[in-house]
Amino acid sequence: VSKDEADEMLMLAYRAGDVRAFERLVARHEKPVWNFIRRFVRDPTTAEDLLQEVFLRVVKSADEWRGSAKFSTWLYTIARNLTVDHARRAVHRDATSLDGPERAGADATLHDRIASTAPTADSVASDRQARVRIDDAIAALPADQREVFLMREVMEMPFAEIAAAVGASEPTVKSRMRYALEKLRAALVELAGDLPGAAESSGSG
Amino acid sequence: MATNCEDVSARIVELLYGELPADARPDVDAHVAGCARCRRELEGLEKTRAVARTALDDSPPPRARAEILRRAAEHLAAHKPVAAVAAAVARVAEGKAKKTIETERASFWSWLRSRWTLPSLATVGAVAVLVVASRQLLEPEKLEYRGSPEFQRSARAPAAAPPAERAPVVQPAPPPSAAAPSPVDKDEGRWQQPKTSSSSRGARHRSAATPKVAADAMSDEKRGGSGDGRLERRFAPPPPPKSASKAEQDDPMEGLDGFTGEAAKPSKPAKAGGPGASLGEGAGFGMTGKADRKPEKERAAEAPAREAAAPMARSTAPAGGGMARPAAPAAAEPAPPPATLAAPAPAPSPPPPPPASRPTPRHDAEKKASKRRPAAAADDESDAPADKASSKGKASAETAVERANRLFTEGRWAEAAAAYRELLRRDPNNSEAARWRQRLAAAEAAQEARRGEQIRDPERVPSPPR
Repeated sequence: VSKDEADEMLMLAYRAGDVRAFERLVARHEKPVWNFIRRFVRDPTTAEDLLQEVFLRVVKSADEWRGSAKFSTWLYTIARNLTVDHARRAVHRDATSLDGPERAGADATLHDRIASTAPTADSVASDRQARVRIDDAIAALPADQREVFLMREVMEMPFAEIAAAVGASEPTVKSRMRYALEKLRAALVELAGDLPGAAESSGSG
Repeated sequence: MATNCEDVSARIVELLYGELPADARPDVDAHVAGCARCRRELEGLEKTRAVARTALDDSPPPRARAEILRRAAEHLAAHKPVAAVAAAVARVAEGKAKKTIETERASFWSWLRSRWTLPSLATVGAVAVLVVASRQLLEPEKLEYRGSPEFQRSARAPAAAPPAERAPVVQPAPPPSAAAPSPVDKDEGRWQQPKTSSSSRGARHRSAATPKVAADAMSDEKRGGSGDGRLERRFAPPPPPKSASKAEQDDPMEGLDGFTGEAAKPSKPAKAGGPGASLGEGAGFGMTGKADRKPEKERAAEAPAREAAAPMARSTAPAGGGMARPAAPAAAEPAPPPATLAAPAPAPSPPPPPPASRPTPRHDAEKKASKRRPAAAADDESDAPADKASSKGKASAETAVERANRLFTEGRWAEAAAAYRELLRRDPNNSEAARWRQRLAAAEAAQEARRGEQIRDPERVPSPPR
């Protein structure tokens, strides 16, 4: 029995009135959803509200969910849609879009940021520093690349499912994934100068 | 090695995430193994992924999960039924539809039935009972008006319809005979005594309107309404209650609240029980009051006449007969209400009350009533003459007025209507014209009502005198 099948069983149990089953589902999926949200919503409180909203949407839509559908895909698609919608509205409110300027010259911008934040090119970043850097780098990704990267890395969704969730073709999704990975690697080059192929790949990317 | 660096670069994402098609895997693996550049590229991305993953391992605040679960439980509690329905819908969608639908429907109806239908029906029934009861109970209130011409005019139709009811009212009044003879002696005795002395009391209870009523009642009595009353009563036992109530009012002992207390009224009529009894009682009441007024002579004379008329009275229906009797009681005491019941009652100077028809059983009571009548007559000046005439005259010549009144009292509506019509035609300006018109209207209405009644319930049709 795969994990997803277990998800489906739990969901059916909840729909039949078993709140404990839902608790297990939440425990199992809250982390991926949370990490996805957090890369789109910087404010922790807002991110928390969004997390609750996602699961409440699941609760309210429980009766619409068809047992034949994969629960995790359904859940993550809900999370993605709510989060992206929210982020879009936030962008409209806040002129300082994260990906606006970076879209135009992503490479340069990312490079500049990494250069400016790096204490020294040779220094070895601490774990804390590495995390800060990677967070920044992920946040710096264009939204369409970021969501694909997160869905693949955090939610572990197959490219086909991601394609269905975001409404793009599978090749397009893979391409976005490739760009996202290259940018992140470039961002980490200076943090970990010894990352193999960093210079070359960034150029070839 | 068909696979070159370009090919590997194009599929490197698939390679990284294990989605490389199985048939392509061998070639790609072979190229990477032999190509340092491609290998570096792949390793670089794998390390990037590893670093990124360390940053993507945050956990949400525990309170978030608690809140989610709380709301999930709430939703479950609040929407279980909905969930069930949705589940049913899903089942339908899956093909079990028809059966499911039928099941759902059946269960729904059974649920509806068990939970709401019965209570609903019960409520409807209760309301219906209340409406019917309130009509009857509330009528007593109308009694006061009925005596008045205005009311009669306006309520002509109604009066006609419920003839039977009216009759009862009348009955109590007429035979003043508090007397003893009536079968219901116990009650009567009780009542009568008060009555006798009660005329004064009755007065006190009566409202301003009462006097009129009393007058009417007297006139009615003279006519011999009592007989009619009896008949009517037989047909419509329920109505008597009202009259009884009136009687009660009159009677000091009984409880003066009669007028006000509607509920109480009904019960008393019950006492009257049989027609005879009721007559006796009524007579007692009415008589007392009237007795003082009417000369005994007249009473005596009337009595026989009434009895003779009794048979006819039966046919009398609603308005006329009923009124006459009630009037008597009213006269005696506040009782007027009975009179009011009868449409004609209002007129202060009712036409000479013709001897009403009376059933034999009542004889005693009636006689007593007749005795008292004289007194009543005294009160009712206009009536007085009529009474005398009627008493004398039943046998011999009656005046046109007397005849009309008698016919009316006897419930011979068609004839009474014709008689009044003739009176009005001949003497439209007579001081009694208003009363005639009222009675004409009442008679016509009663005629109509009787027609309807006969159709509904042939048995109720007044039967010939016993």
